[in-house]
Amino acid sequence: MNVRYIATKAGQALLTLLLASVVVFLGARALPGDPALTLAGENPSPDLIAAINEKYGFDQPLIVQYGRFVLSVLRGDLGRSSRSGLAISDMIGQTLPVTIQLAVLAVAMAALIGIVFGVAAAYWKGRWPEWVANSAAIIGLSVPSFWLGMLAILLFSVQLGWLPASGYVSIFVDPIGALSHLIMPAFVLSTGLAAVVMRQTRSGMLAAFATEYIVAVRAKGLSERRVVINHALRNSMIVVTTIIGLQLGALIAGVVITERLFGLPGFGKLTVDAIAQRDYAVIQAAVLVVAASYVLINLVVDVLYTVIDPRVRVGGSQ
Amino acid sequence: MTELVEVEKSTLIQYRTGSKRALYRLVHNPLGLSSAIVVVIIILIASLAAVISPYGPGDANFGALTQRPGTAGYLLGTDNLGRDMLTRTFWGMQASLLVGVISVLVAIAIGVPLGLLSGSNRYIDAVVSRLSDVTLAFPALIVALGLAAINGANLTNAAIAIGISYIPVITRVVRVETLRISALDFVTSAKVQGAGQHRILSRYVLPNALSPLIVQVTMIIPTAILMEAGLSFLGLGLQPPMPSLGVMLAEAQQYFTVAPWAAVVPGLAILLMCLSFNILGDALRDALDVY
Repeated sequence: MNVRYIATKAGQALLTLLLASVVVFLGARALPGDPALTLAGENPSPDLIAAINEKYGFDQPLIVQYGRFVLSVLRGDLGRSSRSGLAISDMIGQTLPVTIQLAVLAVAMAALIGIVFGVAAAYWKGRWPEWVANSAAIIGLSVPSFWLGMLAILLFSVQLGWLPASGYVSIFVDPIGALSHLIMPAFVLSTGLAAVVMRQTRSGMLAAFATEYIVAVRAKGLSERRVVINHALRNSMIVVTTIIGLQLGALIAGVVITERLFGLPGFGKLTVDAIAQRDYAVIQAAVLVVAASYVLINLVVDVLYTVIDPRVRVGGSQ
Repeated sequence: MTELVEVEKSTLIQYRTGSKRALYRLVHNPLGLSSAIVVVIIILIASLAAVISPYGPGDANFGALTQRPGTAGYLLGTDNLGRDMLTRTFWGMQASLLVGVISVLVAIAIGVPLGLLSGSNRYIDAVVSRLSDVTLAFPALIVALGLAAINGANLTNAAIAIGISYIPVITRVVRVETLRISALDFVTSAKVQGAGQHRILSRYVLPNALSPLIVQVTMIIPTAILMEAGLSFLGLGLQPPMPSLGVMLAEAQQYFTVAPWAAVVPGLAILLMCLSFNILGDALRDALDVY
């Protein structure tokens, strides 16, 4: 393990997280409407507003308010929904598992499809598999995923009746049912990611096939399968890890849209509903969670490099 | 002074022959040529939507609800309010392209100067790369969310949100190019002859960084179009009854078992636009020898 490299990355992540929290805090203050008035409800008395300002510190200087904000977030207190009155941390705790299942399944599908197509395209360069894989990738990059989802619902749910069009069951209650609910949304969500993984895998493999060490292992008489699988898998793992870090933003956007389309009660739906209801406390918390998970997952990706990429494990902090 | 002028001329000539060669390669690549033609047609349709559309974008004909494509007078059919799908698709393409162009302009206006500066000054570089990280932590959708909450949901806010999310991408490309070009001999020679930093960046570095920038822009437009469709689908972009392909899809979702074409047509239009921009981008990358 390269301790210095990890420490640098962790420090950068912490700084980014801090700056992001400032952005979220100031963004929430830029929203129209007086927060005390919003909390007080209809026709509040001046005393009530003063009490609310006192309790939540809205009359304090911004820097003090920011300090209180950070402290309560660190205690796990994200506030309460101004619509339902529920604790926001509970609302997120209930919806996040749905989203994580969807995202993990989508990433797994994207990795599988992308690596298989990418390896095939590089191995059979200039022949029909490369043509098929390249076409699939460029379509994957160009197709609106939610449109693909609508067509999939039309075919598999309405016409064929094979899969449910919407809804959700927990994977811990009914694994088969959960999969039948998640497979379509996960595939739809995976298309763009799969296309990027395929392209990167293909160019990585082409570069690998051209290197001397591959020529050397081939000359040594290693079977083609081992040449491809051993080296392909190793290279592709680095590629997939990198892309998941880079494409996380697109994935989050995709999750929100996919959950809306398939009626999944996930974090994305929580966020969209909060916007529709102008529930600013929930929006603020949701944005903070998105930014924090983005920073944390990219930190994990950076640390994973030290495990799977020998160049980072040994070398400097590139 | 005369020497300096000569150096400049020679780089200009080099650049011109380079772009001619790239054009030659693009035109002689069948996929590249056809995608370029389709892109031109798309731009024409989008800018002339008001002229070539058979109806107004909001014209409802309650005597012709959900007509199939091919119905007399409605080439691509009508939606649940009897509005012409062809007309609304043309207008939707205009909105999509407008968002694509505005967001690219936003990203370039901020990303190019930041990239040039961070490629030539390591202190600025440290600050800019932290800011890029923070920007990346807020996906376009989240920025759009915030802007919609503060300023209301409309085309401009969606485009700005998408543009902001691409600033780090443009910054990175320009920064890498600045580092690469600054190390080349002709820049050193200009420095030796007393050219200031502003002159070096604007006359030497930027013109030579154009190729990767053009390729990047061609790649950003389709993703911006997809994102606009997604935002409008969620109700964070253009607001109905304004025709946007995303709004059309969101509306079609309510009745697409009755009128599947209402969902198929706008989706195909998005696919066609993105496909031709992506293929053109690939062809340009080959023609311009970028990476």
